[in-house]
Amino acid sequence: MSDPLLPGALEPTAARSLPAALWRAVRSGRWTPAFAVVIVLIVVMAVAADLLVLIEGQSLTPNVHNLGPTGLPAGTLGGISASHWFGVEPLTGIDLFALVAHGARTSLLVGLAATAVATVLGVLIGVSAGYLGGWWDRAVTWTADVILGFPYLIFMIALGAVAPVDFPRQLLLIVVLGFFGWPRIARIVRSQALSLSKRNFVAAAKVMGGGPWHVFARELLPNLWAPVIVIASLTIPSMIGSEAALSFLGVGVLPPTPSWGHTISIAIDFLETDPMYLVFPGLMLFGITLAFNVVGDVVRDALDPRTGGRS
Amino acid sequence: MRTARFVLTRFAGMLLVLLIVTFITFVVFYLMPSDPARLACGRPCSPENLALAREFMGFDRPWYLQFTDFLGGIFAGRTFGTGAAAIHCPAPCFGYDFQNSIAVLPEIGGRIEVSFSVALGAAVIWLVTGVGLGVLSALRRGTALDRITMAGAMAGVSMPAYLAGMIGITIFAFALDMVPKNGYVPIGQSVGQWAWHLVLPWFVLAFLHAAIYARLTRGQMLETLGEDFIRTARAKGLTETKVVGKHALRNVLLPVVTVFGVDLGALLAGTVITERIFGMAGVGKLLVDGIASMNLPVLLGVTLFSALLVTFMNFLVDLGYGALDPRARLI
Repeated sequence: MSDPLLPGALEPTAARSLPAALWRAVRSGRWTPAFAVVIVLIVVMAVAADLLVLIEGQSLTPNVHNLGPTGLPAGTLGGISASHWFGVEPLTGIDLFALVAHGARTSLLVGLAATAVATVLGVLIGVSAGYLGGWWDRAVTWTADVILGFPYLIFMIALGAVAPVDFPRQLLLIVVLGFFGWPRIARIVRSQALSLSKRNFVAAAKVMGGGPWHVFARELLPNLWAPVIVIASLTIPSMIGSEAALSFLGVGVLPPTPSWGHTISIAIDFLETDPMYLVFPGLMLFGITLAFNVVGDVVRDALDPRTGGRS
Repeated sequence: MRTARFVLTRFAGMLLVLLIVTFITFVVFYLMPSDPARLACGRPCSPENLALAREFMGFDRPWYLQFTDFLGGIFAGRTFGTGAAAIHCPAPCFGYDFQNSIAVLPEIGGRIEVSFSVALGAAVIWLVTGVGLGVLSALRRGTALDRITMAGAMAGVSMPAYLAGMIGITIFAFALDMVPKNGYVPIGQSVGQWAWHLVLPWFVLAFLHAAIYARLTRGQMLETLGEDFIRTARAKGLTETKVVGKHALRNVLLPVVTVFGVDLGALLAGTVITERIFGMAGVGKLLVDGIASMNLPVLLGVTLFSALLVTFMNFLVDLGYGALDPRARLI
């Protein structure tokens, strides 16, 4: 019997649990373990930011004693030393490691939470559209198309500018990024749910008296985990990138809350005089995005049989 | 007949999308507790002056009337205030920038050349290199070229535009002193200088986007080359150039066109960042300046204008899709 989820010839492999499949996927590539380590390191840095900065013996407070006479960091390479692991910020003298570590917290918090919001919305909307069909399906498909074609970054820039200053910015970013993120997920989930809903086990569940919620939670959802994990893992880096871009433009996370995007935007003015200032925040942002992309890619190759033979 | 129906359906859909986008944007912006009248009123602002400013700008009316005022302005133009001090904003009126005393649309029009120059130049470069590299790596699968292209693609996807731009400026403008650091020269003034100032932004943007297209083209090409009609084409004795360049490529271009339509929105938003990095005064700069001065009509106008542009581009992409794939016309 042909399986509508797995078109084309496919060699049967031993059934594995989802965590086992993920673990195997991460270990399989030559470079993937290294990128997984990068993710773990940055997550540790975000979680233990306070502790690490305490060990370094610094804080987020400005300290002009770290600066030379011109307002640039004292010492070579942007002021890197045993007491300032990443150097210091020009003009303020804030320890750059403290900024970057706390920026990791902002970045990951917004990135992961926005992905969670987008995924929950996307799965609920996508499954209901694919399973229920009818006018709801048409409305969802159309709305998703509209939102996908919308210049949402411009909209968010403008929204970030007019939003009240006392509204918690991280929450605003999570909600707005999550809202603009669901259509991508809903589209994929919808098409999966559509093909699943035509299969015999779903029909059997319905015949045996299973209601829509039972079908959703017990029959459809277990079969949707793989595509959902794939799309969610590839959504994280784009959410992190959007947060950084908005903070870079001054409409995302507002200072004094540390954010990589904001730190990088300050670095523009010091490209010529203190290029070292760009290196660590830039490297972190690039590193976490690249790592999530690479790992997400490998996970997709492992869980999505359609791309299995291609790469 | 069928083609005409296809075009008309898409066009009607586009208009509906625009209306909804306008409505949502308008409501979101005007429900925000920021008051353009207060900003225009100056300091100190007496309650009488504030009321006068509100009335002049039309902000004293209920929001739904303001919305119909705004819609009416797009089609028929509108006049703010009465008597000698009245300001007329001719159709299509996307709002009036009271801070700089100019209608928003001409304000955008004066800067659109900059944004288009950056975006279109980069788009041409990345489409050509992206699709070209994708086809090459598909044909030379597993070679060094393939691996380098795919690694570069991964890096390009993960690199934020401003980071790439800043690294580009540091290396090519400051360290090597090869290209101008910033600024824009109008094409009417000197074509050579225009291109010279745009080389760095073009290549930075193209590097970031070409990556996605290379990946996409490669995957699609590999899949297409395994299809039956390619075997048929080869069996007919066609040259490999013809098989790949004509039969396969046409199939490969379909998803590329789709992604290009979606990317145009990102590209427009991208000009906000590119213009900030490279010190150019385009539409993106207008938006950023509008944020700094809380210039609500400009924010709304630029948002709507870009929504309009993106929706129109998507409409064109839909038509292009119909031209490439006859199956798409059956809707």
